[in-house]
Amino acid sequence: MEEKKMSHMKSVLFLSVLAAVPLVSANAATTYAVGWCEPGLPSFETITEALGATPAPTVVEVCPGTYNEQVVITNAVALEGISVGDSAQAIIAVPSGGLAANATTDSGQSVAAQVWVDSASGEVKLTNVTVDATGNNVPSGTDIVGVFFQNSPGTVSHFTIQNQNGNGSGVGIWLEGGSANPSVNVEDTNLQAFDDEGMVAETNSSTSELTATITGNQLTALPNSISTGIDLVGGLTATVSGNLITVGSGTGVAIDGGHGSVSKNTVLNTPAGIDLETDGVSVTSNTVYNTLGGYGIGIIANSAVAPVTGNTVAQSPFGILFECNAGGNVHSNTILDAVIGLYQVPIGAVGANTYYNVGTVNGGGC
Amino acid sequence: MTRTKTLLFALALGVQVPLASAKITYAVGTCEPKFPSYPTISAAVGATPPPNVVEVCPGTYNEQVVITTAMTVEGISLNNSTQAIIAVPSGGLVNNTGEGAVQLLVQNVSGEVNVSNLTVDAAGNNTGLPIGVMFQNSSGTMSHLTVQNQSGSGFGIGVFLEGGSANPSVTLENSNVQAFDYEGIAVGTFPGPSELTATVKGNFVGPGTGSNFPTGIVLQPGTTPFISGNLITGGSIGSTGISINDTEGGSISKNTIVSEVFYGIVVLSGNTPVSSNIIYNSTYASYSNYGDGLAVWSSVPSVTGNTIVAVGTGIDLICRASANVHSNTIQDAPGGLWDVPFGDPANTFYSVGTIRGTEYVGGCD
Repeated sequence: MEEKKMSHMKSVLFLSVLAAVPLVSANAATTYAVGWCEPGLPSFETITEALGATPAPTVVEVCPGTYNEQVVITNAVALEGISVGDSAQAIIAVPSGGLAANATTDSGQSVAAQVWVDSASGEVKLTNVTVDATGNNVPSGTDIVGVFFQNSPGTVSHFTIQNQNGNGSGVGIWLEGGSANPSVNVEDTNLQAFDDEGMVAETNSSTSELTATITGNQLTALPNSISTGIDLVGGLTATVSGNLITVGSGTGVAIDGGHGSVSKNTVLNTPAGIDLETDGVSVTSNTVYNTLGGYGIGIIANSAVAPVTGNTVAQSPFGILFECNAGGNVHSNTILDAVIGLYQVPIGAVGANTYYNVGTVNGGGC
Repeated sequence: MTRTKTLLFALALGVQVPLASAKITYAVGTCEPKFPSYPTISAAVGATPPPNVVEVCPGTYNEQVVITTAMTVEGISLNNSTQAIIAVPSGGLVNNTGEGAVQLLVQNVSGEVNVSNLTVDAAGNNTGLPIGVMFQNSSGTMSHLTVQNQSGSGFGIGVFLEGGSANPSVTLENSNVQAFDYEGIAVGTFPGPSELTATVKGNFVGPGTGSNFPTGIVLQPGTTPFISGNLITGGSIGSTGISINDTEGGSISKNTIVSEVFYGIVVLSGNTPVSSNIIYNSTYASYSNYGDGLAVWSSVPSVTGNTIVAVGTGIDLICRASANVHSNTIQDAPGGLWDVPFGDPANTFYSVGTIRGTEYVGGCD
């Protein structure tokens, strides 16, 4: 009986010790704060200091404020802007003197990245931060990039990325795959005032070395810049859906490589809505509106294989351009209000599409 | 003998004497020689007996058309074109209603009027009050129309849906309304109980032109509106996406509103809920009533589940709305909620400089 009592007391003591001393566990969160809004956490003046602290953080909470720095992330971490009092705006801005080139792409292109996720072995999650490149002062020859995921997996959500412009090579988000074959999601993010590309997803491989899921974002280029909203290049697997894209003078979605789907996006006020230049990506159920006057084109379908179906093209001088290549793979689309519905169509190669208020349904051209 | 007589009688009925229920189809233009054909739409719709269907061949018809009986008017495809255009007559448009000069007027019709696949173009209208299409106290459906260039004086309207004593139901769908300089789609009747059910869905509206505060969709009193799935674009000075004034029931949902300089949606009064719309890039100015995603002047209608991105102010509650505005997401705005009279309505904010602010000294007190 006494032995049982002792044993019970030992158990209680052991549990008390467990409660008092945190276990060293691989799953324990190490959370730091940036700024002084979270006095209960170890706090740092800059994001860079917090990310570089020991032990390495698993979560970095960024207080509202402006942080003039270029951030490099090499470990798995969640970086999230938080709301304090009456503000929910943490801004990563340009350091005094401008941005410096700090990275190189797989094709050797010099990059000045504001947030560079560099070969992180685990997931990097970025949430609720504004990345603003105003005053970047980057000379031509170097790309200005808001967020650069390089051979790293993770997620970008509810970011605002803006003003990557000035030298004609501004990119909002650049997703580059690699040997780690990472998966990256970009969702519910606002990219605006870029002067080259809103988002690039690319590899230099012929096989897929990147899975990119790009959903629910808004993209607007710098007015009068010749830009691309979303560009898919090289060996990758892409899902691009539910994005709202306004470019002004360029292309909404350029599909130059990869496999996957581009669906349910809305592209408006853009001279070329969607440009399909590969066989592996389907283009379905998108809405392309107002490709502007002159030679605006709703969809360029330069593939005889990839499905181009169920899209709606409205108010476009040219509805769908077949490039003398596409054929029966282009069907079940609706074209409303176009000067020419289909153009450069190989003879006898037209699938069934629907036309309303179209001056010339099939403009031939081959 | 009796059987033979019956057969002959039936043949006579079928071949020589149209039954009362037989469909009467006319053509406009010369592309359908099997039908009685007329050179103008007005001649076809006014012919005797009145038609059930008028098929309009591709071409341009310079006229103002008035429809007073139930029928279907549809543009058809011929060879390589599907474009029948109602254009302005020589000398311009003339006023044919108290509201203005209507290009295609459907007036006090007792049955359904269905109109599809036509372009109504007011270029060169030379009038102060151009209106592309007007349904006046009449029921029916408009689909796949292109209505454009109702502009010039600052009071051009693309499509005008007006109710009345017949309490009509009208649907406008999958159409493109552009280059108006006052209102893209106007819906309304007189103050009081609803005398119009208007369904406006899947349309492209805008951008408007000029500086007289062009608005994509205007909803006025005496209306039950169902407005959904429209893509509304602005860009003109002082433009607004949807304006809601004293409407009764219905819903405003799942519309996408882009680049409206003034307001994405302004709720003045009524009880029509506003939900699940996307408002993007309304950026005239910040910290003021300009460049608002939503402006809500009433505590009555629910305003929920909307996503508002890249605006000057997310939602301006004008010191009037509050608990009815919740579960919205505001991203990228200098101001999140403005002039909140009381309480702390639960919404979600990302990259918002000031979540709750006011332009009045002392707030809403």
